[in-house]
Amino acid sequence: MPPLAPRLIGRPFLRYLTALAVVVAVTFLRIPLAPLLGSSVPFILYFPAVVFAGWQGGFGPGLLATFLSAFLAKSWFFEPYGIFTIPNWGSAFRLGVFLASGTLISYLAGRLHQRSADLEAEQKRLEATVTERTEHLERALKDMEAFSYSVSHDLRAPMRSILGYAEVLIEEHAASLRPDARGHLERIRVAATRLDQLTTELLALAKVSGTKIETRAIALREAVGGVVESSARWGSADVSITYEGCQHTVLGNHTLLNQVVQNLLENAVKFVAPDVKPRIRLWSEAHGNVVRLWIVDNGIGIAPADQQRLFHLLERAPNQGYHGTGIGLAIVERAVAKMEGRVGVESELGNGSRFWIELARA
Amino acid sequence: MKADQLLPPIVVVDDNDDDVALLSRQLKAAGVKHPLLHFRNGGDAFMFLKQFCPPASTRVQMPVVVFLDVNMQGLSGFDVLVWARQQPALAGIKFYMLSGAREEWDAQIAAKLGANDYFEKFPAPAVFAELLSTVAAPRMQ
Repeated sequence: MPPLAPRLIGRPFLRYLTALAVVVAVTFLRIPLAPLLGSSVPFILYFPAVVFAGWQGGFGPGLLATFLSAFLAKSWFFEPYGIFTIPNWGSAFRLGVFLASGTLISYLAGRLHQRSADLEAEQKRLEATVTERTEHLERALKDMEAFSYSVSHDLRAPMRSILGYAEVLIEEHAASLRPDARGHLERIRVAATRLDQLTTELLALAKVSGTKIETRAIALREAVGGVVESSARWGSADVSITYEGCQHTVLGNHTLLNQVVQNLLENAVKFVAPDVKPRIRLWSEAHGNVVRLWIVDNGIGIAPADQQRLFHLLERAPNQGYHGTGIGLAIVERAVAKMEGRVGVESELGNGSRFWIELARA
Repeated sequence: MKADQLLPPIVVVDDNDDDVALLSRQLKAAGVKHPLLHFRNGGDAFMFLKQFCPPASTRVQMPVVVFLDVNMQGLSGFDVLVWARQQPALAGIKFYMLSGAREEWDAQIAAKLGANDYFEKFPAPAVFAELLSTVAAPRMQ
């Protein structure tokens, strides 16, 4: 039970007090004017007082102001002074009009107050709902991250075992195995590798979907350079990647952009004809407030008919002998979409591919 | 220095026996001759390493390298790392984190906590050969 003292000095009390104060103030104003006006317009200053009292306080204070004003007016400004009898119908009418209109004003003010209080309560309720939803989403995100982490480690451990022991058998016991047994082991090894690859990439996709997107200005040259310099496989003599043409700065997310560039480069390096050394060129161009980053390769190309399905999950352009999961480009598409950009490709079979992504210019 | 001085051990802390077997294989393929000590959880590893702090002459040599699995029940690899890096007696030991999947966040934390490196299981034997080649030769206790 909260202490009484704060209640008394709460807002309702203040509102009535204000109404009282206003009426009293008006009375003191009216007094010096009495000789001038006589008793011709006893209520004239009390009307604004009642309106003000109702406006700031609502129905109750407005009503208080009305009746207090009537009382004071009758006492001092209404003949016969100090006596609470109504001398004639005219006076009664004027008093009645004042009381009625004062009450009406108070009532309307009260309704207004109620509306305002209702709106405030509704606002609070909506905010509470939004907060609750945000918390729910954050928890779901955390659960997803925990799930991803758990899958990354716990799911891949037995796959590592399968793969590892298959390799042990192949490498160390090949001599004591019949050829068909060796063949079976090789298939186990291939299947386990593929399973591991699929899991890893699906996890990457889940991560991209779950990433809380925070964008900032990123210089393309640094982003691309970071990916290219980070891995030995790009730096070998057999792979040539030039990115001096990346001049612009975009609005993006560092992790997502890294993933996009990495996946596109991996494809460019992987899908080349045998005996062809991958040569990849990256550059950027600006169109208005959008920057387009081109990744152009000398690979096997993609037929126009297959380009439609290219970015779909687990779909691949038909090509013989190139390993892939069909997830890499789905990741690219989702990551770019998260950064509110676009991705596309221009290509013909046998003539290399020109992938592009568009992001907002920073 | 005796010619047949036993090499100081390499410690691996991992709750997955298959992973330990595979690690052992990688080390063998890398030509690493140090004996491998296996602890299944952080607690056992902690008890083992504690006997070297403060430094005292023990029958067992202090390990030169400790491989810590990141994902373990109970005391995790990171827990062991944090404690070990606070012990001056263990300052000479190289700690390497092993993880089932490469997590950038984990790699950064590993570096911050004083790990010498962070690997996804398992790097090629050549990597292990290089790691062990930087380790000091065995010295008289």
